[in-house]
Amino acid sequence: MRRKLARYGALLLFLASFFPVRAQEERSAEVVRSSLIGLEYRVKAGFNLGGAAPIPLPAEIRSIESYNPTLVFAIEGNVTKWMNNRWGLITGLRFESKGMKTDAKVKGYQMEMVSKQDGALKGVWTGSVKTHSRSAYMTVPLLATWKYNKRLQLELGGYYSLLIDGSFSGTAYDGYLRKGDPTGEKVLVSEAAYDFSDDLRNNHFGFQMGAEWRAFTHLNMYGDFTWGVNNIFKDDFKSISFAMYPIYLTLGFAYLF
Amino acid sequence: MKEVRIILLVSLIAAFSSCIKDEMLHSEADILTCTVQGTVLKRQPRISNDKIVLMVKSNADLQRIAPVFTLTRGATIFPESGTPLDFSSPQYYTVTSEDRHWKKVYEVSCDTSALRKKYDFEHFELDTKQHYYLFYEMTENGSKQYLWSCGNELFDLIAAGSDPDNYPTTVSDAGKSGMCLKLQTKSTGVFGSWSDKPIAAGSLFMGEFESDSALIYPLKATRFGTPIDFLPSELTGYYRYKAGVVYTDKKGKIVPGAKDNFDIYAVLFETDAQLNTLDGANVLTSPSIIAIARIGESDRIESDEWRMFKIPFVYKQGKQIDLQKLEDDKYSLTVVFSSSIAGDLFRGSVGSTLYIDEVVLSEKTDQ
Repeated sequence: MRRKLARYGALLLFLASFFPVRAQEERSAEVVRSSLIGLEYRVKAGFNLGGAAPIPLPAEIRSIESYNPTLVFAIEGNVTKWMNNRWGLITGLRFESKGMKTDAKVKGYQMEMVSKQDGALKGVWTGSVKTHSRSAYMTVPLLATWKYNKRLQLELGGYYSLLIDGSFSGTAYDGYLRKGDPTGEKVLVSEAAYDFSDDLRNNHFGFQMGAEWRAFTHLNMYGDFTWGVNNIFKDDFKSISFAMYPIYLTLGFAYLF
Repeated sequence: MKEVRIILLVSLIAAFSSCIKDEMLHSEADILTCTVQGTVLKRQPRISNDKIVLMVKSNADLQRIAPVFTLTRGATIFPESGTPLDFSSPQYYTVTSEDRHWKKVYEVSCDTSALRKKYDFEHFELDTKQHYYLFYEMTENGSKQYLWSCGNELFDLIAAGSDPDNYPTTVSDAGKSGMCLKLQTKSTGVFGSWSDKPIAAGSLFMGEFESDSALIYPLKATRFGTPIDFLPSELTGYYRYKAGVVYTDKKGKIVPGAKDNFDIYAVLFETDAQLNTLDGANVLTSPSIIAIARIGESDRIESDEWRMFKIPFVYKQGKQIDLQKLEDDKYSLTVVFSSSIAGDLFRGSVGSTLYIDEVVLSEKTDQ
């Protein structure tokens, strides 16, 4: 995990170091003209930390044994329109991946172990569940921004995300399934797979808040917190009895042209 | 900045972990154990998900039997555990879960009938979910005796959905006379192959199928044996057999040149306080075995016509027959039919089909 983060940090630094060189050459008349009418351009890159979680955690989840945010990232280009010295509006386009790996102990967890061709083993699971999810989105944020001082800028607003590609799968292990409901036949299971990738929702909305710290003239550090208001699964998806919401923190660097 | 990041990370993790809620009340409503005071039971009660069968001695007074139950933690039962009830006909108990949300009705019945000697496979019905066939025998007093078990219940769990005729253990109207038993080795589909159980042999046996642990310990799931009050000498009957084409191993890999075969056997054994039933791991090897009747290698012949089988019980050398134990219902018998001889190890050919009809157990006359 640590090595992964280090590697990723190095990659970000490499990218960040790349921007100023090019950009300084290209700080064209266009950019200057834009700034005169209150427009400002940025590119941002960071890694995502978070997961799809039911809020609040339902009583079915007894403990979270392990959690791994996996290597997922966000790259964004955006434009700020400053209304006055303090207030502005931001919109842009972000490509991002969101994911996690979790291992949890559950009790009475409604689920379905599926095989595509044949039947399914559906019922109430008590035991351990490993989950691996990874999704790619194209996102459009719309934010109000407020300058606290020359260095700190805060943002608040919402976003729309379109799912480009996603997977949500895992294994249920060391437990038992009651077929159908808690009074159904009991089956001990050592390990069984499940895959809900086809049931992921395509259109997402959510809230976003963030902060940007102006470390250098062009290079900023930022953190964005996003909270999805839609279940990550489609409305007609019933195999998991509770809704799960994507909640992520993005940490990274922004380059201001 | 680094500190800020660490604080954010820590608070994020704290936010997730701090909201683990208090454990819910139990939602299950099971009878875990059942006991009856005294010596009226021939064997330990057979407890399935919603049925309990008490095999009771023929001289017992059925009008006042008071089974004592243990239940899932927090669950309650009505009528209460230990209440004397009249078991001349089945009694129904309702178990309510601790969270009061779920109820399960158990049928508890007493079976006093002696083991039959003729089996025609004319009596069958669909299970409560209408998924697969169950075989039963009719006793002298006209009640159903669920003597036979099979793996249909397990197949239902891993490959359910198709109609009853697509299960491994079914019926056919092309019997030697009337209906007959039809056993066919089936593929268990993707789910089965994930768990190294790519096939399910058609099988029928005297005893109980314990579906709870069947996915993990399949050999332990078959609990062989039912009380017998006579010494058998011979197992006869009729069969037809056709082996499937492609033989696969436990991993579902094709074994070139291998050919499937069927199996018919019967085992007479002695029970005691420790040993109530035999299972798939020791049914042919347990030291408690008194006699085995198993169809010979050369008698396993593929045929489209009905063929007779006539298998003698071979009594173990040096095993004493204790007539008092026979009298006290301490002896058990199982008869087993399988469409794939290594089906218990998940090896065989999909499509192997065994038909069985007019099975007779003969009693030994020279004690």
